[in-house]
Amino acid sequence: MKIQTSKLLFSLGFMLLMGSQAGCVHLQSLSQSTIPSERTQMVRAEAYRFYFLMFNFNNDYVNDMAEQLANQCPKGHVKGVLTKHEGITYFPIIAHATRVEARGYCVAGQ
Amino acid sequence: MRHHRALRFLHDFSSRLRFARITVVALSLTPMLLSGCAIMHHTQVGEIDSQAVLKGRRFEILISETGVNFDEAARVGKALTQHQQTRDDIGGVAGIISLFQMGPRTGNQVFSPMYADKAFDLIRKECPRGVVSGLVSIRETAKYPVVSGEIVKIIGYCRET
Amino acid sequence: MKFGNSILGRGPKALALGATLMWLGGCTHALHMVHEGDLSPSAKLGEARRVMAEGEQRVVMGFVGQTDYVDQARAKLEAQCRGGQITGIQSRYSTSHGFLSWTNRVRFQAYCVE
Repeated sequence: MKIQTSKLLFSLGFMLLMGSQAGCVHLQSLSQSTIPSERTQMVRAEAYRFYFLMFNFNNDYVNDMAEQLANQCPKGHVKGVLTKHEGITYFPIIAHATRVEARGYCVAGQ
Repeated sequence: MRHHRALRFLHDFSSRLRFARITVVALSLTPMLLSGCAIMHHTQVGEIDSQAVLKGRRFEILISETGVNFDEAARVGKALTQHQQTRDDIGGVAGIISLFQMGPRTGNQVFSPMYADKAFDLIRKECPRGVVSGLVSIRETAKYPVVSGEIVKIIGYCRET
Repeated sequence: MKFGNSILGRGPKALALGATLMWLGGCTHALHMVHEGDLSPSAKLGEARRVMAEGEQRVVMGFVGQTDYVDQARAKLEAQCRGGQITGIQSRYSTSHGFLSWTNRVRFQAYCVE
């Protein structure tokens, strides 16, 4: 019994350690808009939300992503936007996260 | 004697009532089972040229592939037999097959993931010389028992130039 | 090792059936999403060239910490059309299932207008 308990604790601890280092990341969706011919300046925005016990009450964390991109390209257009929506599992059921990343190119004055 | 007849009548009546209830439930569920269940997985809306959308021609491209749910197939197989050893065998085979099908899923598994690639050319065919805008990409499933239709639907608008 | 009366204990026919079912079951895929990107109005598709790029990632038991294969596929697509505009991009994300592992695949196909 003691050996089984210690094995179980070791397994749980190992899973927690492995999960906490990186998290298991999987892609949920992606989209890519027209990529411009001028690709010198890249801009990037990210939205991240951590969930505890799968509770999430709103998705407002993605609302200002367009603004984040626009702030990095105040006098131009942001084109060729690749949007990646990732799900991250740190520990099953208990700790999850969502990350949405958008990266594109700032094209001047079009 | 009358007491026995009365009891028998009540017993027969309650059996018929139970059978009638089961029949009503089965008949009400049959259209639902036959019509399938529509599940939306992903929807994305693209850039919109208002002139193309409001004045252009709407087109819709629908591509589907048959998906199979092996777990459901195993459950149906088990339900169709009363032999316990056969049920165990079906469960064993289903378990082994599931080890070979690990991974994230959207809808049911298909045998080729490339069925939607032709949408790329079909959009061009719908609007060979015009402006295409307002593209909406939808990934959905029409679910039936054991099998499903894994559907990719593209809606767009073509404004001829 | 004794398998008794289970399917594994019933001889070569049962094993052949099992192996066939495993093979059939092992060729499954899941198409997660297909996205059709905008077609730039100024693009002259008659003069456009088709370009395509793929990226894939092998995952064992779900242990993976990044999705860089998407960025690599995009970089490959851009490399095929340097100096041109890449429009009408179709993005496909699918997974090919396997034994205790799977392969995530991303495919971009588009028009390169130079």
